[in-house]
Amino acid sequence: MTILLKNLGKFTLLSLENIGRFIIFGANFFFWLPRKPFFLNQFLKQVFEIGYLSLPVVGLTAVFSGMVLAIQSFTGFARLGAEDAVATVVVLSVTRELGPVLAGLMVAGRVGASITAEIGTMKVSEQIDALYVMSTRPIQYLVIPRVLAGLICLPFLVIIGDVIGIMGGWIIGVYQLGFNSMVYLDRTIEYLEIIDVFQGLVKATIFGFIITLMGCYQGFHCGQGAKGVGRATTNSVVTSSILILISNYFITTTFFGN
Amino acid sequence: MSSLIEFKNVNKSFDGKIVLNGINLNVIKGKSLVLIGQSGSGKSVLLKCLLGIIQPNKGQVIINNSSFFDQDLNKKEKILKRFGVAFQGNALFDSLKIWENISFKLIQTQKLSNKEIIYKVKNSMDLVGLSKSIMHQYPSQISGGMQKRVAIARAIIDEPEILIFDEPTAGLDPVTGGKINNLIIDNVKRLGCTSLTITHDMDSVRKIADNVAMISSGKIIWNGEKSEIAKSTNKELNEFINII
Repeated sequence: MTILLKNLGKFTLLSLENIGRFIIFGANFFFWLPRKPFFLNQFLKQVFEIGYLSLPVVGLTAVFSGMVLAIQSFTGFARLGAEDAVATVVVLSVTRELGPVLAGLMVAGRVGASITAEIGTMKVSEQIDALYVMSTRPIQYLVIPRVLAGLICLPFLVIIGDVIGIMGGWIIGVYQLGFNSMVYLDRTIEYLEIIDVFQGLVKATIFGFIITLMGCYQGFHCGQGAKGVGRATTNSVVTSSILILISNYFITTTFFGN
Repeated sequence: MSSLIEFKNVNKSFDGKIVLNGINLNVIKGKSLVLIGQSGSGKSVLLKCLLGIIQPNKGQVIINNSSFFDQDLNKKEKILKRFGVAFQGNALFDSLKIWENISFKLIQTQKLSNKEIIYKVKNSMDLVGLSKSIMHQYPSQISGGMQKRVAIARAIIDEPEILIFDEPTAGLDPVTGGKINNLIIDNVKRLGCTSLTITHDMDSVRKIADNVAMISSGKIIWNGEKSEIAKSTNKELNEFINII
């Protein structure tokens, strides 16, 4: 019992220490954000890495999710005789939930892991020390361009993912479930409101911030050697994914809780 | 002779383990000090304290008569601009080409035209005997010896006042190691700067050093001119020299 309490205490203290460090890291980001210099080249490079190179994975996830959603909702609603609602369910689910959450999770796996591995390797090979010694603040050179790129790219990825996801549903609706194409598209647009898309974009922006900031944080605080970098990379993906799911709930409650 | 760098009673411990235990050491202006010691003796931690990468628990690092750790970030950065550092593992940026690595500090700290930057990069590459053909390659595409030269070229490009070399010959064959030692001597002499080198390699000590200090278990146990080493009665120093 004593050992259990001791371990629980140790775990709690360690967790609180990590949360504190992460908050300080985030505060540092905001402190240095408006200050010069801004590394435009690094930012553009990250926009390419985070935005452009994530398109295939986000697109594939979106199209298959849209297709599965159309089939599942059709078979479910057929029991109630509400098959007509398929298009509406697909568009609302994709724009409000599946688009941002799945894009967030996929980007957390791809980009979060890569950011942590890159910065972690730079840390263990003294490249971050070298930056500092050459009068370049690592937070301005490494963190700010990545987090800003994440903030900007995720909403674009989600918009593209939304369109592809809806198209996936349309393909199944028209070519497999026998809906009339025009009717399906009418239903898709009829019940879609600006706020559905808007809250998806708000989620995407917040997820982009979580993924990139957590990726950088874990890289900067990774342990020594390949094992340290590996562990930090795992922590980055797991923690980002959990934070995405938790924040998703709170954002949804904020928009649609009442 | 005046000291450019002074370590005054520098103490550092990690999780209760004492790594530096009251280090007092002077690096004399215009001289080349080589710090020797076994692995884990605290050499690299001392170097990181000098560069402000690690903050000591106690004690001061004085550079040009002012305490480094009492300065604000901007002043620390100004002081660091006077340093040229070649790290143990070279610390070259994997994602940047060789010329971008060499010119990194110049681009960040000086407003120069591209033409001037390229001129300085080529000049720096000449000084360390690097072929211009590798300028557009990445660090992973060149050999360990060449990477070491790139690290030295990066350290000397803006003609710093203080040069730091952390294990400059580690992992190199004796011939390449000898060439690197000669490069260090030539460039320190050419720039007329003060240098601090950390090494286990006695060949480097013989070639590079004006003064030598030995660190053991976080303490300076011997400090003097290179010529005095042979006369030393310090058991640990003699053992270290004979084994190496």
